[in-house]
Amino acid sequence: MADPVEDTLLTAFLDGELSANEVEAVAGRLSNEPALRARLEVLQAGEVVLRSAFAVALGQARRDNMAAKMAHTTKKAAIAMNWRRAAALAAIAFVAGLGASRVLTPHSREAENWRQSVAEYMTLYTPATFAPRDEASLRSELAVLSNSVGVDLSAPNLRLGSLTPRSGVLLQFQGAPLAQIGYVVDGAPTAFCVIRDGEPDAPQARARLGAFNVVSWAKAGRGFMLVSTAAPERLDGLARSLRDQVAVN
Amino acid sequence: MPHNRPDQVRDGLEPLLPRLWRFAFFLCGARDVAEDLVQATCLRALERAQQFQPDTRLDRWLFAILRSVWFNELRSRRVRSGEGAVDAQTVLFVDGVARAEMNIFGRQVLAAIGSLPPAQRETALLVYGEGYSYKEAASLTGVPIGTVMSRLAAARVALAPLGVAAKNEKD
Repeated sequence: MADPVEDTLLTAFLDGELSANEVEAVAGRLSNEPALRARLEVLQAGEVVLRSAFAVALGQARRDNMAAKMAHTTKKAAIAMNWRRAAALAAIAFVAGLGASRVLTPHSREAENWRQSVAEYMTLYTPATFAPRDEASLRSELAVLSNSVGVDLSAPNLRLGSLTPRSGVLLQFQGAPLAQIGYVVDGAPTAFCVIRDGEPDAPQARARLGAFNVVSWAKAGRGFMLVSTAAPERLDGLARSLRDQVAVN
Repeated sequence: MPHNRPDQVRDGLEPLLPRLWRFAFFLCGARDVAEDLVQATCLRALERAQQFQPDTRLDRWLFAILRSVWFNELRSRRVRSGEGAVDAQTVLFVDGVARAEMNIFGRQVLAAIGSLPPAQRETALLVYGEGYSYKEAASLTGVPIGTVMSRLAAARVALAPLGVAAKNEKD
């Protein structure tokens, strides 16, 4: 069923833009019309994709350090746009320079930044992203990760009851090595991340980043995080096990 | 000490740069053009800083400037100089954001958004990326609310197959 008028109505319903009466009318129809419910699901699927892509693009803009880049392109843009306002140019160069120096200071590698960054990429993960590796590949991946972040991330340490680590990948955030281990928890792609960035110790805490539940803690100069759409209670339990099992070298 | 308006604009610009870039990128669909556009927007904002109303939102003010610079100046200038086909640069669009670590799904998503009609792309970004209400999006883009609604519905429908595919993979 593809009826533009119905699509528009359902879209406004999903976006919370209908009046109370209209919401009631749509809700009533949804409970009686399976075809309308199916169409609602199609429209919801589209929204997930849109929101993910916008979140990823914003993460990219942050990582690319727009401010520093703009300092370089100021002159080019000025010529292209035929700007004659030298004062304005000086002002923007100043703003851009300020941004660059701020981004390069250790302060900006604060805990939330890398966690935010991971959560943005998580929006594009599916369980297939963490397809299981063969045992030998997994072992060598985990050895590389252990070495890079200085934490023993061998497979037995990462086993969580019946859950086993599926893959390991080494990333980096502003120069700090970042280990990411993939699990699938209750059908949801789930990442356990360890960064070696000198964070001060912090107890286990829950947070919400966009669509994700996050449990994070820090110990001995390493930041840890477990991120997933799985239930926060479930993640809390898994995080406790990981804290006990994973030793900092 | 209370800031004067130019200071407010100057100090407020920097943290908003990533969001301005994202809007520019989805508006024009090409990375280098987006950077020029953000640059031009900042210069214009600093020139007009006296006009900024301190009790209003700086981000909304800047978005309106960016949009006006794009449609009234940069875009028409590119068209005149024969560089006008930015709307069709789907390939550039993908390369602009995708990186080696991005999976195939991520690339497909960006390619799909790149192929949306520009007006749908812009409206979807404002509402789903920036949290504009329908009324605010209609006012910024200068169209009736009904047009905002139908653009959003069309964008959802166009992107739905990718979302459904991802969901099926999870089940």
